[in-house]
Amino acid sequence: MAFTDSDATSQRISTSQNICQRCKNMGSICFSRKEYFCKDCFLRFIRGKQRKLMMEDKFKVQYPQKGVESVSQNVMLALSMGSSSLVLFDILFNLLLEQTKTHRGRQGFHLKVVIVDESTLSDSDYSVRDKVEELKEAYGIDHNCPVDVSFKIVDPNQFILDSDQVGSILIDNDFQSYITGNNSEDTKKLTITEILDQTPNRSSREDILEMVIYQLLIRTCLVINCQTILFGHSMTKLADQVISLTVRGRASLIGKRLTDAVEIHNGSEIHIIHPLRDVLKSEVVHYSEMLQLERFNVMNQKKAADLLKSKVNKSMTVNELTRSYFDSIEGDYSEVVSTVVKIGTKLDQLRSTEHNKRCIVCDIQLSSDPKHWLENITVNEPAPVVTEADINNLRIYSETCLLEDDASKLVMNPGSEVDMCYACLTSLQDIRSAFRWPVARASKEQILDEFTIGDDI
Amino acid sequence: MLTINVEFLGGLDAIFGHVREHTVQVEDGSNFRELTQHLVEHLLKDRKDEDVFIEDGSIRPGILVLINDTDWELEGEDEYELQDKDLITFTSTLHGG
Amino acid sequence: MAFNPKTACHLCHSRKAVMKRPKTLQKLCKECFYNVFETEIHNTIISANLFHKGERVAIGASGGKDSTVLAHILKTLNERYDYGLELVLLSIDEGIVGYRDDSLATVKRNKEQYQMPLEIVSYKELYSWSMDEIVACAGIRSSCTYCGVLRRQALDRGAARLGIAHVVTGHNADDMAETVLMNLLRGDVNRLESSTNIITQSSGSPIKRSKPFKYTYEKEIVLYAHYKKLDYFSTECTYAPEAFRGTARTLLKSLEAIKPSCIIDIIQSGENFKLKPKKQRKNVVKRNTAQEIEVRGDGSVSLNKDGNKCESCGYLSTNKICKACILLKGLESSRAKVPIEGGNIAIDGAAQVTKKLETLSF
Repeated sequence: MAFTDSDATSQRISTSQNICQRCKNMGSICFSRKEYFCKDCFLRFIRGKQRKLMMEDKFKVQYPQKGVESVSQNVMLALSMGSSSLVLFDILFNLLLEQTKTHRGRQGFHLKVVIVDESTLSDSDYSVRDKVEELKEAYGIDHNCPVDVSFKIVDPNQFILDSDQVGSILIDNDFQSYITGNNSEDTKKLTITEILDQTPNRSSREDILEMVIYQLLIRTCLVINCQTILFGHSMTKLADQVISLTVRGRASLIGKRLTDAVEIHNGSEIHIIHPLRDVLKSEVVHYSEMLQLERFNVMNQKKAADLLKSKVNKSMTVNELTRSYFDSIEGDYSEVVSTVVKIGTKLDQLRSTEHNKRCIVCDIQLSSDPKHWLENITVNEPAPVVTEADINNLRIYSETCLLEDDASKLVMNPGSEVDMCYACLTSLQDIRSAFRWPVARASKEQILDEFTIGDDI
Repeated sequence: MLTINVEFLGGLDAIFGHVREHTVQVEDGSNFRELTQHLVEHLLKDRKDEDVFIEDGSIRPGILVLINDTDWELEGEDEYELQDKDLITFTSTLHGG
Repeated sequence: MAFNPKTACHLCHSRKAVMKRPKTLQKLCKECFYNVFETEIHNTIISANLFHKGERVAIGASGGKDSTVLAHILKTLNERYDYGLELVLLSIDEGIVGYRDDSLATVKRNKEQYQMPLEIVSYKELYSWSMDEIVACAGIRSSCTYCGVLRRQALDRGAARLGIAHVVTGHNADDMAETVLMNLLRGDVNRLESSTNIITQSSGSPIKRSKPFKYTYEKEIVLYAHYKKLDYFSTECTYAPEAFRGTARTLLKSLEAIKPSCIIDIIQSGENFKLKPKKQRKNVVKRNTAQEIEVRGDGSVSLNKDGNKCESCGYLSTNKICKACILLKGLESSRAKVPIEGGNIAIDGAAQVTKKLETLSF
């Protein structure tokens, strides 16, 4: 089920029997969307797609006018170091380069590239820092580069600040979540790795990590003063997200994650754009190969290793499964990919009936009461124990005093009730012991004070 | 040798010669996975139908497996050690009713 | 065998656990399984207000596992909780030699086993066409699409013939999750918001259809039928394209294997789907589409349609000619370019999309 190029719509052609249908000059090396492209024309084609989605004046070069303060536009690129975001980086770099050439050194916006260093979260044999240095070297950044672009690496453990209060979350058999109050034990700072190690399976781990990284990126954007965040997601990735979010019970996030729109976070406006939303994954791969961007790719190393280990579907995560589904259908049924993205963008967030209740874990506004919903469809009562033999067995059971789990300790020592959204409830339900999590978050001022992301590299 | 009784229900008999009940002999100490391999090699009528029964080296999701009427998930799934006269039931759940 | 507390049922702690619930991952004994299975369906029925006392209800019976378990459960719950329902088995004979004969035989046995009256309605008598004849004329590719439209009408008409306004079908949680995924994959905006409705009704028809198994896992239905030794028949429809290899179903099953709760997670997502409001247009043209209207718990319906009758066959329809007649008329003249599902998709087109999606290898 692993993604292979032979499944892709966009095909490499080894012999240039065909002439590029755009410039009608060079031999073509790529066949995409029923057209033959030479290298230059293909690159231009893909770059054009980004430009169409970032046509606003705020990204164009502004000449300072007398008496008018020039407002600098700071744009953050969330670089996951996967092929899509690397391709987006190349496209943006080239755009800015072109701007400086055309406009005597001026750029339309400052590009701040942010990388969340996930290598610290698992045994990895790659260094994100080294890869970023390689990338900078390749693009001549730091060597009298006309383009002004900065890089920042964020440690995921910055998700938990000193001002955050760490607590223990427990879920009882009636789907009610509580925080128990032994915070005094938590003097050592909680790391992301410790949080993730608590999750009961790989899918939950991935779900929580995805949410953590997203929140980190938003927070970084605010702290480094950017007004726009760019994500490198391809059309295929967006389609995959529609299904994946649905499967995880996070349908209310679909509209938000899929559309390019302005959002409010902590009182500030952030414009979120996916400039590659009209580009298929296979096209991304070919762009990347044409410019040898794969050498900077850390995702490939990480994911390929994971996938090879888990050839059996059973140990894949939900995301991996939906991803491999879309990768395998993109070849012959690319229209399904665009159809799914289209319907995803039509979805709205549900208005809350729960009067501003927020999930203690992912902070989304609850649209309904998941506890109530789950209780309605689940029965946890035993059938009556009647026969002699059964009654005897029950006695044997209670005498062996099987380990109490923390959940039953709860009955003795209830903490305070908290709210949790359906998806987080499902992700964490199977944890028998408490789930440690920053339950009280730092204020905006504290974030600005404490959130350290280090200098530009 | 162990004698194992195998049942194919839910329409699954279609790929096993339209016979629901079978009896097979396997080596002592065989586990469930080995039984599955035996069934594929000796009882499956057409090897092309293998992916209806097996996926990624194990029983395809959507096929319910019972070992002596107990869910195989409680008995160790592929690692379950077969015992003489065990009844293994495979029921396909993959179609309407 | 001595009782081993480690293998005890999670709920009663006194009997040996024999199955693992996909919904909760609990390991339960047979008795507790029966209890939770039956009680949850009862809860679904009560909280959705599906029935009222004295109601006559037709059970869509195919002889397959879902409808057999449905008949058994409804009979059991009707007696246990005194719903006061009058239950009738309603079976459709599509006229597919070999496939349907055997399942009809099963339904006839169910009639005896559950002591319920049985009504059989055939395509041939309703439409003068059997599925075998339709396929011979229209080809296998469109067969599921024809059959789907014709069956829905046949169920309604069979119920109407009995003077019954409520049909229950055995659609289970897996079916519902699959419908949600299919609607996403097809980009079916019209159907998306209503894909998880427990009560549905075709426009123009007075018959309402409900799905008491909405939150019931298919695996549990199969297990229940197995343990209770219920009589059911299972085989692939002769014309259904490789039912085992359907793609959204396969994706669903693979997902269930890694995360069993995903089936109700998808249903939960499906219930929360809400479309962004469309921009208001000046002239809103009411299209006679086959939209599923929701029937509220108190019986009121969201759309008000007068009882028009099809000029051709007399069936209740909002259009001059009902959908089935349009389809079949198209067949008679051997032309098949007629809209069938709310929108102008030609039959071949719709079938093609469905077939395409179904043959996607995975």
